[in-house]
Amino acid sequence: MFLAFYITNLKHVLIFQQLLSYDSPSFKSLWTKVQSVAPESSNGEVWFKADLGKNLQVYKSQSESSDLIYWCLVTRQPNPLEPMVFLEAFDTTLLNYFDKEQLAITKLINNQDRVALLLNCMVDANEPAILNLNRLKEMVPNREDLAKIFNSTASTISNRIQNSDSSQIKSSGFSTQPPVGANRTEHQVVPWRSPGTKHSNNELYVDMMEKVHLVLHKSSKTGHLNVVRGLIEGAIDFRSQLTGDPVVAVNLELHGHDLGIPSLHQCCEGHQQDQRLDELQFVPPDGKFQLMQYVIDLEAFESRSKLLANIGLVSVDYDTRLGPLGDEFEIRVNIAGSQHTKHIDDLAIAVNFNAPSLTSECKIKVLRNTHGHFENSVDNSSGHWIFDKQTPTGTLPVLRGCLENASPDQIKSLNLTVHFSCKGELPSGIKVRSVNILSGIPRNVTPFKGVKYTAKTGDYHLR
Amino acid sequence: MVDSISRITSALESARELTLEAAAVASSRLGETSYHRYSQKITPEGLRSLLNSRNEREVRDGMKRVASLLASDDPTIDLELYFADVVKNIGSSNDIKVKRLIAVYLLRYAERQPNVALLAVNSIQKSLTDPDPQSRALALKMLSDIKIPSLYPIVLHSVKKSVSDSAPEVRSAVSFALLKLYREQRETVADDVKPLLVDLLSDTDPLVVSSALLLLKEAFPQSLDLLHGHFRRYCKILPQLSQWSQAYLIDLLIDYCKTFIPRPILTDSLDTTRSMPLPDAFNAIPFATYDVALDPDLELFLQTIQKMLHSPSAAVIVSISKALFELSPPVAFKNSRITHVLARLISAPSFASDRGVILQCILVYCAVDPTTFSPFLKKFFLFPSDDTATAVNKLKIIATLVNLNNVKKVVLELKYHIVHDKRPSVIQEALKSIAACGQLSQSLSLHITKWLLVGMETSIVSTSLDSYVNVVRYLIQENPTQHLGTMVHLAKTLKTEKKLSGNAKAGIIWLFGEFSATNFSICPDVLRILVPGFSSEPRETRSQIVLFAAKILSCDLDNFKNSRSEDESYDFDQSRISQMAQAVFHLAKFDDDFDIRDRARMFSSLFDKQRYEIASLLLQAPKPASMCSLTFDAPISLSAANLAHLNIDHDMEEYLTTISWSEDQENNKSSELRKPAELKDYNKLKTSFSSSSFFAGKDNQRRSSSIAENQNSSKASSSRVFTSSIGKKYHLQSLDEFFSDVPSKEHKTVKRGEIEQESTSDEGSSSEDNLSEQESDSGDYESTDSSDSDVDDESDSNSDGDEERSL
Repeated sequence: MFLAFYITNLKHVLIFQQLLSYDSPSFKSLWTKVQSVAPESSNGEVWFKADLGKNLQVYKSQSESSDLIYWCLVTRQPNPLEPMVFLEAFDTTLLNYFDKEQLAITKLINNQDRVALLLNCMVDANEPAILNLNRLKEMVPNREDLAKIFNSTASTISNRIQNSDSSQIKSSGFSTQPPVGANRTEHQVVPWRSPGTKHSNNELYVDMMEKVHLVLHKSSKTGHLNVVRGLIEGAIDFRSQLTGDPVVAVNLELHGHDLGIPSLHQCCEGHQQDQRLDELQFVPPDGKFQLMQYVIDLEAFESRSKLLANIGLVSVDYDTRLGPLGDEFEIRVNIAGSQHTKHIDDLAIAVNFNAPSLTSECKIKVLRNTHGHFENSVDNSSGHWIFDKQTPTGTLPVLRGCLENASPDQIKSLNLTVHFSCKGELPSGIKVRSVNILSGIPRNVTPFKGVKYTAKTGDYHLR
Repeated sequence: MVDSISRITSALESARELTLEAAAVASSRLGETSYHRYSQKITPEGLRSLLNSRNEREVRDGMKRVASLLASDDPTIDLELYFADVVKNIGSSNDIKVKRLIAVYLLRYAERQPNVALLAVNSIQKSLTDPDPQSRALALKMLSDIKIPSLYPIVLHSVKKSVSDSAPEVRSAVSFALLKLYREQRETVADDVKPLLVDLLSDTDPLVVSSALLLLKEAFPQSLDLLHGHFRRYCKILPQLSQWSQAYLIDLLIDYCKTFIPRPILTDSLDTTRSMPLPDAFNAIPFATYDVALDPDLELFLQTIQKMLHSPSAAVIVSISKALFELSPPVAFKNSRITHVLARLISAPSFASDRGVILQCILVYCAVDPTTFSPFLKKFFLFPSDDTATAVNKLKIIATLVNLNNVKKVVLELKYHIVHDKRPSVIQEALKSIAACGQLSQSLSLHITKWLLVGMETSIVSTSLDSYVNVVRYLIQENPTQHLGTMVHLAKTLKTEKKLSGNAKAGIIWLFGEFSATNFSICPDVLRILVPGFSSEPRETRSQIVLFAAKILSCDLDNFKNSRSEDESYDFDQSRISQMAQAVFHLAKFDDDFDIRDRARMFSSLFDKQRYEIASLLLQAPKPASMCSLTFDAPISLSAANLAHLNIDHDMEEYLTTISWSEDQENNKSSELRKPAELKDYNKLKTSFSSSSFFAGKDNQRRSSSIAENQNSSKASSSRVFTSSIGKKYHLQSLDEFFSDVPSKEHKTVKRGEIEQESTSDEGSSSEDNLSEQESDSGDYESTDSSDSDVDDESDSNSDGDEERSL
């Protein structure tokens, strides 16, 4: 039973609160209480729960995309997952409702009334009620503000310009009128789609995003990189603005990967036996939603070369104990060439000697670097090799440096954390072969279709 | 010149002042931020006048301000004072957004102002009959949100009326209203709520069933018998319910199955004469391979949930795993692929913040049977970005899964984390896990202790030293004879290591005390080294030195007694050991800590009074292991007591605790109970024609070719055949037919219910009736047309009369 909801920023300053009865405490009093009950865990952790009384608990969950913390006050739950899942669902609902990648704090403050209304619909009788975004949009209509019209005009114009040279884009609707509100008299075909949806610009976008998580261990004997952990976390986000009740088919080129049992959006009806992962057919809800979330296990590959072929464009290697004194190290980055993308973005490598040091005088000194610049951090035994915003593919940057006054143990403890992102290609090679609208859309409408691939790094770690 | 410029600027300034407000209002239509700024400037008095305004726009602005004040916890304005101003808008405003905002306000403040709140009830009740189902649902929600005891009968009355509403969202709101009512009134309304719940449970709409299940779970979790008639249907529609209700229903059905469905029967596949029911404890099956005979209903349930593994909700996945774990034999659990899904949920470092909870769930399964997750061992290796709770749980799971085949990899990984991790609790857990690895074989145990001792010397963080000592202590205690070298090393550490914390030192000294029973020779020397520094040691260490001295003395006495004949007596004055012990006891008599003084007194009096047997009983009693293993040795059923040592969240513990299968007579569990009950289909009350409902019609609609699909979807506009939800087909008339047959056409377009009844009655006779009506008085006909569905009887009687007349 939920008693209150709060949203704060990362410094625990209140942004929004909704108290479901007069007795629920305000965030200020809750926060003092939480600090006294769980002083240490209330700060750093991404999520936690704390018991405030015999029958009272508080859950906290930090938003993955935005700088927000969600809190809820509940009576004791038999299943501790419920409040957590609800807070996460609340986060994604807000993101999709406001149609943002990231929620700014001002956006929430400006829309406190709307958030209150959403929450009011989502929770009834202090229990979760309606979480279907399309129904929520119907109940709390979003305002089409001017900025959106500007944006959509600008984007359609740019689409039009790009139209000629992009292979992925087929055709474009060219109108900026806001969608016509739902007509309530029509019959609802599927529970997740409001009946009678009409859009003047029909478009659908598939955003594929993959995150590489890799922990490699450099064997001191053989010098080979051994894989400790390796996996790709992928998500297919879908955004549709289509008239009527269309049946969409997404054909994926899986590139020989086994997706296991991915989580599928409700609309895919994963419980149907005949649903194939590479040929999904579904009636999409209106707006943005996550179609699929999958994990590819890289540890399952037998050969290392096959694994390294699937980690994206950047591979990193290092050597230590070089030079006459044995205190030099070299980091070699190999950015493979690619047909789909000309450059990778925001490459940065954190260099860290984190062995416990008895002498604190050691210091990283860069001898030579082919790309980017090196930033030392305060503690001297770590630093960042930061590249330009864009690094062209097909290059081999090298950094050579030395760690002065270091013990051999410390030299050995070198570890690297790699960050980059890249557009146009997925590490796993999975592609969208086609997106077809099988039926359910008026005949004269040819929707605009777009596909986007993004690769990112999560935990990319060499040690 | 300058003068004129300043004059102009001042004029502009004042003009700006004047227009600022107007501009703000105007710009508020454009951007959110400027609207917010305007909204912030509304004064308390201004707010009141806005709320009381006749202009909808102003009321709306006022309510928005109220909402933002509610949300921002502003102490300067007491919103309770505006109660009457806010609530009176409920009747006057037609804007549903304003109404909803009032609902938010009422929810919070209605209890405080019962009298004024009651004034609003009338207008809320009025919108219960609104043509828009959303408004009806909202009205029901608002009405039930007002927690005033005198209002409850009215709420109950309105709920009873709305339970047969044609719109599913209204019926779903009924369940929520009933839940609120039940929470306030408990037993007094139980008799009223239950029959309504029965109606709601037998609804055909998944939305209504979803909310009804919530009511069942919250209000009557014991009344599982309500599910009898719906068991099979719910198994079928389970994937269509809302995510929350899926989890609720699965949890409810687990209990249901255990109460009303006979246990699965396991038969030994080698010897078919041997069979047994599924035991409560997981894995307590004596057969190597076995066949399972499931009750068909149970099988249906298990099959349904196994198809739902694609669910995006972690709560549903965990519920499914719980159901499979409790209701199916171990082989089925391992084969069900639920383990894959759970492993997927936790494998990526940033998937979901709830993975700590999922890990706890996995930990319990692993503790009961490590083979369930042993293929996924690598998935539990840590990522650098794992948070503390996740890391600790992963390490615990690793400790349960480790075996001789994978131990090498695991030890390597654990060593890395022990050395490199910065978080004490993670290091501690990793050390515990490495201790579990050490248990597997003697050579491993030696290897690990050796490694730990080296680590102890180089480690800088003193907090983790404690746990190092604990683990070493544990490994040595398991097998003391093998570890003489280690003990010698420890003695050296004790002598040379200055950074050891009191606790760590105390642990080592305790270890020597225990070790004295196995190998006495080195212990007195350790004591000799410790005595001079006694007074400068920390409290824990002093206490252990006293205990150590007593142990050695007692040990020495025993050794003496065993080696010499009966009559010879131990010479306290000559014995070095005794002298050292006496010195320690003496020193301890002047200790600050009364506990140490007390101990010293006790031990010295034991030896003075020559109670040597008592001393050896006290001091040389065998000690239990300092760390217990996480896995269960014998098959057990999950209960709070059994799970206690896993140290998981207490809610999770409770959630995973199982109830046992009821031992009722078999006839109580017969499948007759689950004979499908009658359903309530309110679709027929709907005012519009519905094409066949999605889930029923979709299979033939969607899976067919796209051409057929096109035809199907265009049916609604072009085809003249309509299929109602109950499967009857109606012909829409052509234009010619329409003109030739005016009254019957009118008849059809008016009310759906009417058509229903008409079609069930004899088609021919009704058309005859219509004809006769047409001939006779048309005024009569009009009046019948406008009334409700019992019109037909009336019109029948009318037409009878007409026929009589015409005859």
